[in-house]
Amino acid sequence: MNDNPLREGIASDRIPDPCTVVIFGASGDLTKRKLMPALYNLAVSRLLPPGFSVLGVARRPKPDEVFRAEQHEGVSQFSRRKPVEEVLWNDFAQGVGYVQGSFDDAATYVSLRERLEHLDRTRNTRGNRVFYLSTPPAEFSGIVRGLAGAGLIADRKDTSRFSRVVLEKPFGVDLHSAEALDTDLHQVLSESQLYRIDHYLGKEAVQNMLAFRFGNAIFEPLWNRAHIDHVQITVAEDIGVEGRGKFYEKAGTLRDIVQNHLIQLLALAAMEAPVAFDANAVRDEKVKVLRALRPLSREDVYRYTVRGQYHPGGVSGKAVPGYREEPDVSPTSRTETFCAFKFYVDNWRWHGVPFYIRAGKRLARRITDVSVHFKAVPHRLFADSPAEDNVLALRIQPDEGITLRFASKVPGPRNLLRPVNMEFRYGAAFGGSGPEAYERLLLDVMLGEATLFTRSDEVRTSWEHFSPILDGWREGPEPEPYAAGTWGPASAEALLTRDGRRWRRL
Amino acid sequence: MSVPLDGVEKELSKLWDSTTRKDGHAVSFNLVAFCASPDDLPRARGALARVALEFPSRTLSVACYASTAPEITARVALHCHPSEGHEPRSEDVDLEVRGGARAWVPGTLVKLRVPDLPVYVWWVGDLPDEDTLFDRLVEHADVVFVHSAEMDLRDLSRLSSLVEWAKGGYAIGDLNWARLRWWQEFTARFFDDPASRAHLGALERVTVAHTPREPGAPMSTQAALYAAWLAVALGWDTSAPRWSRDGATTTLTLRRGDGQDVTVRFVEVPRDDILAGCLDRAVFEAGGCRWELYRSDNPRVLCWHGEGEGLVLPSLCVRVDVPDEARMLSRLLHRPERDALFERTLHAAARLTAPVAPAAPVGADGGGAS
Repeated sequence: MNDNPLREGIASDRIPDPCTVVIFGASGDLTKRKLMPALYNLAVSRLLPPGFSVLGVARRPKPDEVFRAEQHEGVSQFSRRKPVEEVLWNDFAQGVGYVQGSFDDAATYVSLRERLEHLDRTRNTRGNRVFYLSTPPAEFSGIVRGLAGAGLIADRKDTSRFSRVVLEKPFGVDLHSAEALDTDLHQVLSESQLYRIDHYLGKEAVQNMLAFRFGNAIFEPLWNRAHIDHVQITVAEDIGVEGRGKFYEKAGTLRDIVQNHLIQLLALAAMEAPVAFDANAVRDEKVKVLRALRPLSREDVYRYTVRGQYHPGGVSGKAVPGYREEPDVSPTSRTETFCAFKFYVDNWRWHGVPFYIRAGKRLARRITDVSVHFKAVPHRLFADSPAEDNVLALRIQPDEGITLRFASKVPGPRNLLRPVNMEFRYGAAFGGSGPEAYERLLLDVMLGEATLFTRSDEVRTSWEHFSPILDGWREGPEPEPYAAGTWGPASAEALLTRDGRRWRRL
Repeated sequence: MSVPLDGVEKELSKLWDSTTRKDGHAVSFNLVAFCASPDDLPRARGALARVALEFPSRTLSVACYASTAPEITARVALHCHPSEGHEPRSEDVDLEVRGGARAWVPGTLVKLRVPDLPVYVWWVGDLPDEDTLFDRLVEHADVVFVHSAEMDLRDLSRLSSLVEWAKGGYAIGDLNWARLRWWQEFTARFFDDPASRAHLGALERVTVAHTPREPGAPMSTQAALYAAWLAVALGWDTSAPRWSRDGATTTLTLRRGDGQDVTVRFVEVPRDDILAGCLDRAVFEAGGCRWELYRSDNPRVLCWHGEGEGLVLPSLCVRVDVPDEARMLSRLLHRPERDALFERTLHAAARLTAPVAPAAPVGADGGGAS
């Protein structure tokens, strides 16, 4: 596009080259609730290229018209923009089709290739494809092999067209399975063709962490062991497993939240400034943080980690069942619904600064928060006043924003200090709701922009830390019970109190 | 609530204290709307109110009234979001200026702006022919916004001079230019396609259809800016434009880079559902191929269609923003800086339209005493 003279100097958004998005597992909930509404909203936002097309692939037979009607209904229900604008939907839907087939049948990929070639001819999609695997992870390797077998993966050196594959987490359930998956995928695809989605990274507030840290000069000089006492990260949900007991029994909080979302937040909070805001520079720095995480020995697992499981309690004024009473959950389940950790990042910047992280379900409230707790003043001038540390908190959700706590003198004759919060809320300041995470991420895939996607070495390094923890837990005692609607088991509190600290009151 | 000028800050603090945001609020800039005529005040206020919900800011609106007694009075308010629990976002100061107090406005604004933040001045309405107040107002501005859609063709020349004069000081942004953004984007998008782009250097004819703005005018300022942008982007020679007129159609002939002629036809189409002077359709023709960009029956939906040997151009319809002043201001405020392409286009538009623009009125003075 660069040699189009009409592009020179105009204030335009980046628009991807014409392409087709192929969704495997298109009958699933994710397609209806997230992917198709996101693509439709990109169309409404004028961010899709001409000729843009979507093909759903799934086992159930259905004509294109039925698939379009189902997706129209999904968009009507789940799009952030309502109602659906029919003139735009009709235009968008011209490029929407469906291919029926089993993912392990070579004929499926032959049919798919024929449809894609037809779209290339009639909608000028130029051989550019994004394959979105909205399927169980067990299907990933087979689908990728099927695509390669049908000649649907363009050589990465072929600059005239692109083939990109998007994967949904989990990327393995431990180090071994993650490495095996990687080996399978890399037999067919280069790393630059792989886009591992962590939808947390598509959130505006998460991206704002980088903007806040590296777009302002005043905080970075303080962002180190000389000034910071410790860091806390909380990813709390007040909901339970919501009918996903079968999935959760196999996953647990560590695999579901910690190994991916929470570790990404830790990396963003602790990383050095990248040399550029591009995919490899940013991800290089995140990987350095993960490599610097101090590994936990078996003994450390019991000392520096806490696992809990919710028991019956009350949330939002209503009684809720315990985890073991949830549908599809074993009455003797040992799956954790809460975990907390104390980590150290062993590098020059963070030596000796503990990172306390916790995540769980059925906690007191839904909140994701990263807080940086600064060291106390070296000499207390105001002895009558309670000692309160400065805290800088980055709220990821809900009510995204930044809070700075500092001490202020209470008006009057005495030198009495009280902590006050200075708050900035993105929503209140800038208003409006930004794009959904999936909109940003899908657009980035089409543009070939991988900064907000997880790289193979990030996943592997993360598992290198968490696999031994899972092993330790397997041999250890049952998860500690906690009442639904609280902040987790007593040991989670003890993790900090024995260091003379406490969790932030959220 | 009317307050003395010295009490503005105190009253604003009281208002914030009475809300849930008493612990502090964000402010990104000062936005001043100076209404050349008090008649413009309601729409200026409306636009400021909407912009202020998107950007945390202090908005200041100024309207001048005839009077023998010079006086400036202020009203203060908070801009609250209508649907989010009336959450306050920004603060607003309205200044009512009477008689000779007009001359005090620049000093008053210096006092009332939030210090150390950018100042953007929106000159609402037609450009004054001679008004030193304009010069004094923009002296402390970072960007001055005007709206050339409200001007006639000869004002393009004056704006062009103003841009030159302002260099090194403030930047100039044009709401009319912001309005053209989607037309530019989709025109460019046509020719992102390599097969279409191959024809770009050999365009033979362009037709620009727009709604009438002024009776008897050869084209609207928006249509002129669009044609000038094409000329700048495609390297057409704008130094010797040739004009002809046939009824409601005006034709401009220019020389392409390869020495061949290209014609631009300006056609007026009456259409009640879009603003006066706005584009309705653009058609490009070359080598037997035709590319057409047009508004559908829904004026907010732009569609395109292309045909010709070797072209595969699937139809495309996109929704564009409501082209109101608030939206255009907001677009400019996202990048409040010098726009080199706008400046080059404006200079080209001034050159192109000079032969057909109406002459300046003798002894024109739009501003009054200052």
